[in-house]
Amino acid sequence: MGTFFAGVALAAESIIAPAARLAAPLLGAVLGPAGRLGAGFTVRNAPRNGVAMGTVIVGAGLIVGVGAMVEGINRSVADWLDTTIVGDLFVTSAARFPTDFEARAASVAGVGEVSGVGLRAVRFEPEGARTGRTVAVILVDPARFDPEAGFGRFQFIEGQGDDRSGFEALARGGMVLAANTIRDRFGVGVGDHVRLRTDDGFRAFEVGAVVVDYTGGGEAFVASIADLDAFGGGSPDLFVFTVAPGAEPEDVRDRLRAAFPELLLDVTLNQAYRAQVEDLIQRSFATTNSLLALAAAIAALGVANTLGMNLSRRAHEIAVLRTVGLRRSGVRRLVLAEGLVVLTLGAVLGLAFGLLLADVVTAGARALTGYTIEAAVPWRILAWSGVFVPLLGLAASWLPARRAARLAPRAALGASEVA
Amino acid sequence: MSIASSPRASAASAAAAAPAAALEARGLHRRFHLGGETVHALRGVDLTVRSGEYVAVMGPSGSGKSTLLHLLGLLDQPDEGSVAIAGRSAAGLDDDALTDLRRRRLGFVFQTFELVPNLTARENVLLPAEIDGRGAEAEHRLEALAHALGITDRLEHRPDQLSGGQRQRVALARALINDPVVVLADEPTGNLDTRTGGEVLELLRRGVDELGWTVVTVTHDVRAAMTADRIVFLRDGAVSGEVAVDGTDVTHLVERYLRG
Repeated sequence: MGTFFAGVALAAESIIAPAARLAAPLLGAVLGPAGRLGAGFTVRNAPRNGVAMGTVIVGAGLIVGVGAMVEGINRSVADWLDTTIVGDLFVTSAARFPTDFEARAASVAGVGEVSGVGLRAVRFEPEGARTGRTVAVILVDPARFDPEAGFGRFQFIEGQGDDRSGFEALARGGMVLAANTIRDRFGVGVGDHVRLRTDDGFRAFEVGAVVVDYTGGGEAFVASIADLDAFGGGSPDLFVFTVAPGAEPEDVRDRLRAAFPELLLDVTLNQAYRAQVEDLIQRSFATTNSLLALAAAIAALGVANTLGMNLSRRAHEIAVLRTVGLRRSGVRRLVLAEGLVVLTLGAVLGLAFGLLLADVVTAGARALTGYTIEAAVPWRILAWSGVFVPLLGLAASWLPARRAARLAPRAALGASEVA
Repeated sequence: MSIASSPRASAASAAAAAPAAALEARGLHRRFHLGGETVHALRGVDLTVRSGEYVAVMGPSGSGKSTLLHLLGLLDQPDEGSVAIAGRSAAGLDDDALTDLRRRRLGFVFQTFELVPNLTARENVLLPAEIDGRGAEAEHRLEALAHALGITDRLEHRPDQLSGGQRQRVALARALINDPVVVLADEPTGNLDTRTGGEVLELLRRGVDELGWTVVTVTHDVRAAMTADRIVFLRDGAVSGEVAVDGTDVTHLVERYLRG
């Protein structure tokens, strides 16, 4: 990838001259004669501007490439939340749920359906691996995923089961659905057996389907709540509620809390629960976002530095332009035009190359994180680029433009004599 | 070659009747602070240039010629004194107003031409007019100037495709495109060979005679100065004398002033 970007950066010089010539009429229309002059400056400083443009291409390419990966992850998580995390209320408690909780909760006014979920950390012994690893086992009520009557759905990996076979596997008991990450990492598919540690020691569970699941960093199995006793027993750790038609989730939440004061119920509404999951994912990429911001800043600094160097060479010429009547504001527009050409062209090419590179970056991220993700066009980034690139151009040009505008026009005539 | 008419040409014949001087400097003082030392570059210079007059400023290095040209060209501000262009004082004007006045009332010709390399000769000439927002109107004037200066067939060339003399003609056309009150020339033949330099001097002279241009040139070249109507001598930042060039041989006077 580095070689690719280096090549792009080197080719930038040959692109910049024709592009600046093409942009000259537009810059002239928007910024006046100074805009056209700025385009001319860009052409004449093509070698140095090419390097600056290369920086922008690399920066924009990384932003789009990585952005496409993050967008892909967000989209996958959103899809998963849409299909799998269905329910209006998610209820946990610091205390152990009593065995009759589900029945009593179902009688609370406004409650629709209640479905218990067990969340357990379990040792998994992948085939051929020397050591085991701890994975998440999510124990769900199969009825919730009944294709005819249930309110929950799984996303199945192509060729690895469907709503019907997944439901039947869970209903049968003693079988698991493997998360897609487990399949990617350990080559597990439908019909295979996986060894999970139960209260009676390691036991083989047949894989009934492969589904998308991001619990536990993607290393997870889904099993029937009927098998809860095999994984520590006790009561479910979480209850998923739907509310009856016409009932407000907030009202049902309050009634549940009132009905079970001794349990100090922690009730999360669907939106908040989704936000929690999304926030968790977002936080995993907080560093990535910081790096993207850094890439943008480096690109802007690269352009600012180049414009500054260009000015050192063109100071005399700018002084001549001031002499023949270009105002300070005109000089600022001239420098701005140069900055805009370099940044816009760099950004456009960077965006294009970034989209091409998105798959590479996403594959790298897939290998690193284990999540199964597909790159998605980061429309938000592309849309924001339309706003930010000119702003970045303004920011990058501001200091050099100010410096240029301060040049004394008499420098143009000062060659022959100081006094 | 004939010199084409210009809006100011008709004014030329009435130059003598013009109420205001084209350029008037009064009591110009300019001091520079260099390394803790104050250099008094100009010490009370007075200069009046009538419309249609051609004035050469001469003096040894360090006499203040360039400083005077900067002040006359509104490129620098005097510490004391004032400059007026066609009766309009530049005193107290802000940078934008000075720039606008410079663009509309003054034309500049430099020793090293100072054309914008990536623009054609036509674009270079039109530049001050375009900056002034009058590019389209100036097209007609451009054609007349190009014809007068003999560069009609070079207008689509870039500066690096032109000879030194052609570049200076383009620079002269640029200086004249906004129909300035005064053309200020800084060693206009300094970078040209004798023959080409002579052609440029002849153009300036004919422009003054036939079109009523007003020219102030700073030069070391006695031959260039001798094409002017009047030579003003500077020494140590002050006017040390002046000579009218009236057709008689004043070379000995010029040399005497230059020797001090």
